[in-house]
Amino acid sequence: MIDFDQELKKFHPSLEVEEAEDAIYGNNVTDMTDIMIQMMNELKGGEM
Amino acid sequence: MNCFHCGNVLSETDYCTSCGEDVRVYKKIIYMSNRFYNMGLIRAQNRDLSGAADLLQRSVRLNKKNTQARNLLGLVYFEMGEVVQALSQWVISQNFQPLKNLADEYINTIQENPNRFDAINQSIKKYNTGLQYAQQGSDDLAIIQLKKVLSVNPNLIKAYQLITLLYIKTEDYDRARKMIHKALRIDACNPISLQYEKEINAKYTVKEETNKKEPQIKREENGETNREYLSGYDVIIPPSTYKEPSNGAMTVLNVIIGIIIGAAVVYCLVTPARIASVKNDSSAELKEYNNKIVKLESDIKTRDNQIETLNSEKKDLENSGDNSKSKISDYENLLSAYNSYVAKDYVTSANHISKISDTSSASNSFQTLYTTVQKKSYKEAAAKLMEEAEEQFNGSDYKNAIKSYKKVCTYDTTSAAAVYMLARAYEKNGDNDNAKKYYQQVVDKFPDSDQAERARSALDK
Repeated sequence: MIDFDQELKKFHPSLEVEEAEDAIYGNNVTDMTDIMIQMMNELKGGEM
Repeated sequence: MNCFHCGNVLSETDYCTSCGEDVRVYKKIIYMSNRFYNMGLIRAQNRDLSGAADLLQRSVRLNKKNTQARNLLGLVYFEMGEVVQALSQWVISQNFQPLKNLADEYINTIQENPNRFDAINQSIKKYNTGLQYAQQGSDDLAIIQLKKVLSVNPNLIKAYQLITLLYIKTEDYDRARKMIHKALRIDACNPISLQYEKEINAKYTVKEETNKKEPQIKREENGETNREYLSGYDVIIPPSTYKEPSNGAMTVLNVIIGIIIGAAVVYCLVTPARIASVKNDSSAELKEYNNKIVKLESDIKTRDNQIETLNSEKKDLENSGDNSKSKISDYENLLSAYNSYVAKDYVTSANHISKISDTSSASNSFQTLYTTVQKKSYKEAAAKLMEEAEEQFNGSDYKNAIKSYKKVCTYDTTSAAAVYMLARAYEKNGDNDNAKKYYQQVVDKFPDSDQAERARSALDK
C-alpha cells in the first residue's frame, strides 16, 4: 500500500538552467584514482 | 591507458615503464570503471535508464576522466528529461577531453535550438511548482501544472511518477495507469514506476472482484433470494406482471405518435400566433394605405382649389381685359358723341352716348363731359326722333316707327306719349303681345296721363 506523503518525500526539485553552473562547479570530481594517488603519496611521505 | 603519474602509455606490467610507479591498483580501478560503463551501456540499450544511470555514476566515481561513461550518463539523463544534469555531465566531459569528444556534438545540438531549450527550462520550473503544490496539498493545481510540463517535456519521468501518485491519491486509477505506462515506456525498469504500477494493478484487481459481486447484490435487490417465512397475518400483494414491450415496432410507433403530438402542439400554439401576427401586419399595411389615400385625396382637393383659383384669376384677368376694352370703347363713344354734339348731330351723339356702358369707374372729366353731352343730345334726339317716328307711323312704316319710338323711350324716359305710340305701333304691326306690354307700361308708369286712359281702353279690348 502506497503512503502518499512518504512517497512524495522521495521527489526533489529538478535542476533548472540557472542552477547548472553551480551544479557543474559543485560536482564532486574526486574519484577513486585521486584517492588512490593521495593514499600512495601519503605512504611515500611516511616512508621517507 | 596512461600512467597517472607521468602520463606515459602503460604496458601489461604492473608498473609504469617510464616512471616506475606501481599502477596495479590504478589499473584495477580503471578496469572497474570500464566494467561499470559496459554494464551501464547494456542497461541503457535495454531501456533500463535508471539502472544505466546508477552504473554509469559508479563508473565516473571510480574514474572521473572516463568521458565515454560521462557522455553516456549525460545521454541517459537527457532521455529521462533531466536536461540540465545531462548538460552538466557533457560540460565536465568536455573539460576533461576538449578534443574529439562526443559531448561537443551534444552541447551544440542543444545550443542550436535555443527556443526548445528555453521551453524545457520552463517545463522544469513548472515541475518544481507542481511539486510544491502537491506538497502543499493542492492536488488539482499540481495535476494541472504537471500536465503542462508533460506536454512540453514528454520525457520527464519524475513528472509522470508524481502525476501518477496524485491520481492514485484521488483514486483515478485509469489515468494513473496511463501515466505510469508512459513512464515505463521511457524507463522500463524504474523501481518507483514499477511500484506504482503494482499498486494500480492491485486496485484494479479489487475493482474487478467488486464488479463480480454486484450482480449478486442486484439479484438480492430484485428479491430473488430466499424469502423469510410468512405468517398467516401477512398480506400478500402479487407482483405486477406488466412488462413494457421492447420490440422495435413499438419504438417506431411511439416515435411516430410523438411526432404527431408535437405537430399538433405546434399547430395549436404556434400557428394562431403566426396568423395573428400576419393579420396585424396586413392591418398595419391597410392603415398605411388608407392614410396614403386620404393624403392623396386631400392633395387632389388642394389641386382642385388651386385650379379654381387659377380659373377665377384667369377670368378676372379676362374680365379686366374686357374691362379695359370696354373702357376704351366708352372713351371712343364719348369722343364720337362729343364730336357729333359739337356738329349738332344730336341723334348720332345720343346714339354714341347710349353705347357707353359704365361711367361709374370713369374719371371725373369723363363723367362731366358725358353728363353734359348726354343731357342735350338725348333731349334733342328724343324730339327729332319723335317727329320721325310720327311720320313713319303715319306713313304706316310701323317697323321703323317701332325702332324710332324705342329710341325715344330710351332718350326720354318721361315721355308717356312715346311709350303709348310704341304700343300702338306694335298693335298696328300685329304684335299684340308687345303692344299689351307697352300699354301696361303706360298704365303703370304714367297712370295720370292722357295716354294711360287710352292704354286701359286698348287693354280692355
